[in-house]
Amino acid sequence: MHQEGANELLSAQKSSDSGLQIILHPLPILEISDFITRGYQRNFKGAVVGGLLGQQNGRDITIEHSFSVKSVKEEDDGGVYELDQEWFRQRLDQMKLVHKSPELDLVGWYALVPKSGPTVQHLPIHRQISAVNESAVLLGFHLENMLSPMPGDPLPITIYESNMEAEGEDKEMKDSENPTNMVLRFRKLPYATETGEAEMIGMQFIREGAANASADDAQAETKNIAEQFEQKIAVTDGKGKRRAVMTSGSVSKNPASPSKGKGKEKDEPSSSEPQAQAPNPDINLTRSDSEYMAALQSKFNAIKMLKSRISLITTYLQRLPPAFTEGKQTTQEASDAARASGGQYTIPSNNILRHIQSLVANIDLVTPAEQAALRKEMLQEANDVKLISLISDLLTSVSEVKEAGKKSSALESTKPGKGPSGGGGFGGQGGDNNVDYDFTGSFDTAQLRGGGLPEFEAVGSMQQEFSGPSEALFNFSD
Amino acid sequence: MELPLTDKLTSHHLDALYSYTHFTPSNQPPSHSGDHASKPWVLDPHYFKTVRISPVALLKMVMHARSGGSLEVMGMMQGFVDRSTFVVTDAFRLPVEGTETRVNAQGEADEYLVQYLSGCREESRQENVVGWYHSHPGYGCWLSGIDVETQKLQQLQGPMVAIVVDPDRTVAGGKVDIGAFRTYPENYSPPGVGATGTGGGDKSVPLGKMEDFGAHASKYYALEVEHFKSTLDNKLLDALWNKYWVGTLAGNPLLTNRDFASSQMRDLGGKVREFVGPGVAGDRLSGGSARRAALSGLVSGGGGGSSSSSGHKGKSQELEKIARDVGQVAVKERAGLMAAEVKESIFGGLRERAKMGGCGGVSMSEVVRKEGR
Repeated sequence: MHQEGANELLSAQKSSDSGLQIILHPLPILEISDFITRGYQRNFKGAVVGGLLGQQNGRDITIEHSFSVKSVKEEDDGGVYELDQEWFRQRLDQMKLVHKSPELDLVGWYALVPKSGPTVQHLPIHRQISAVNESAVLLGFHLENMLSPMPGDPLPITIYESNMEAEGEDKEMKDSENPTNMVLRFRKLPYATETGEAEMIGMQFIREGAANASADDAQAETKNIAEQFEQKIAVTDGKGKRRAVMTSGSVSKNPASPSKGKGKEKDEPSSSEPQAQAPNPDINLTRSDSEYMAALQSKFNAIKMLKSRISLITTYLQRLPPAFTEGKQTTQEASDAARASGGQYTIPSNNILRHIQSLVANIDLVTPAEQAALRKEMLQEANDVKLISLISDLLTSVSEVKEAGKKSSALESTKPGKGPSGGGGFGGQGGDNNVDYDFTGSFDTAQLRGGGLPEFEAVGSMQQEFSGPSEALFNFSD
Repeated sequence: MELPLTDKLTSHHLDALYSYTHFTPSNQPPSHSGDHASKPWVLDPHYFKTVRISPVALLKMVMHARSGGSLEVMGMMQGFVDRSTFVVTDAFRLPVEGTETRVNAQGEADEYLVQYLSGCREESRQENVVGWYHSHPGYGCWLSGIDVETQKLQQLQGPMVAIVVDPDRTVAGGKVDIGAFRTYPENYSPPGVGATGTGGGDKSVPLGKMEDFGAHASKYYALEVEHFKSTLDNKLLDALWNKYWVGTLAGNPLLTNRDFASSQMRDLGGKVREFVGPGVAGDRLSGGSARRAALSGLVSGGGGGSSSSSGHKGKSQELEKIARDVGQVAVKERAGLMAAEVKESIFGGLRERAKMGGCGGVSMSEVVRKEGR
């Protein structure tokens, strides 16, 4: 009974050609999932329904935000769910108030929908929502798909639009005595997912690591922290430099962390970590190196994906039935034969082949026409990047030199009588511990190599010759 | 409409944080009542150590911060407390903007807050408010003077946490820039805090905000930020992820982050100049470039010029911080360059390769052409 009802509600017309373009953002999907999980964990007995907010520009509808709504079950009306109008109106106003830039409005609602389509149960709320927005869409979440997921399955979501359609096959004009019976029909709408930059980064943050929502025992907690470090998610502990140790499963900050004794020491004994493994070769990576590696890793994954997709296409083409490729069979015959062959040959389809041909033809478009201009720009970018790296290295060297100066002055001050007379003109060595050496004099007298970047030379040679503290500081020229 | 009866979509163990009653059994005190013994955070200012954020809350906060552009935005978070961890299950916006200059920003939103929360109760969301979040577009995750005051007031009402998001650095760095903080009570001096305090850590703070940052850095501490997700979320994320690899390959981070990187460098340049001191750069022009003098000025720590009054030790720490900041920018730029080079090597020269018939391209197009007829 129910199934027939569901199919009845789906339009008899083919897939929607109303021209509505739907763009779905990831947040509503996660919000629905959150509602569902929370519902299960708290024994929620009501309906899983909510409103969708987005922008509607003519034919383009974006779905960017969602919020759960309070629904009441009308017992006397056959047990269907309806929105609490007062509550809904208030919540919608609140949402509109805080979503001003960009301005979002109600574009539809979501509910759990069986795979076969919306049922009569969905009608009352749909009517209520449509009263606010005529072209409201229904986002149906198919929970059964999640129960038995197939790899490579798309999202278990279908978006329906509703239309009033004339009932029955008969489409002729009726006169006023027998008015055409208009009923509500749903039609599937194709949709695309789009993700903004910030959304993408947020999703990546959430996706990384196997951090699950298990309640804490100390082990689970530290395990999550370990995964966090393993995946190098940005964590502020606000206590100076620390090194993220990349061990799989075991947690330890490198105890020799150079944070001047302020570092947070989280030495979990490895015995408490059932998955503690042999020391990781990445143990000495600095944070910037690990970040760079993470970027490389994600690039690598993306390339792997690209490669697998391409090989999928090539495998498809390679395994087309040979009779077909030689042009001896029509597509129809070939596809029947291929199906009959039980997986040995792929099924040729004109549609797919046309797509592939356009793909090949488009390869040409990838390389731009203006090669010279492109190369110049790439060089400029590369130069900028290298310059910044150079500056960064320079500053690090400068601070190291300062350290060296400090240490040497500390040494000098313990040897009475050395005074300021040593070669190189160390200034201002008074009774107080003046740790700021005035290197300016020595710079002037030092034989800096001409041309190029004298600073770098000087700094470089200083670093090379850092044998003992005192001696090294006397040798500025090589 | 209703949840189908099944236990395959969720796991009591793995999704435990989504249940509320789990955390208020009789032996655990509910977080907003009781005497001092049941509120250990009253006695220990450093009691709370971690914050765990749900995917929905995180995404909402990041999106809200981003949508504010260069204006600070603000909102509240709902959740509960589990021993020494805050669990944030949801977040919602407040209709206030530009919060950094007004202390009473939250006062304006009180009415909205009350109405929103009562609405939540009616749809049986039992969580309490556990904190507030706001954004610092482009200047890092730390608490300003006003934020510290606001958080102190908040903490009087119960266990609360303050979260700060920086949407600009998030997008520039490709990582969510987020921090969680709690303030110390008055007259509490946290042990072992140096001159630089705890707020900024290894994140750089722009020149214009340095004073505000430094003045209050010792009044609060940072908590660990973690995320969690449900088993259902995992499955959905995998399904979504198949669509994202295209963006990773096709994107050009150097281009998208050019503005931000330039502003970072300009800011760092200003910091170096300030560090060196005004007088030094002009004087010593003997025999060489002003660069040399500036460099020596750097090394000598700025002589008698603009002293930062934190002593010599402070100077060298400042220098290190500057060096670290430039290092960070350099890393991001390097990663961007790598992305561009990868793109070049994969897609560059495709036309030539296709013409040469490499990788069986010829046979493929032949097949397709034949069928087209």
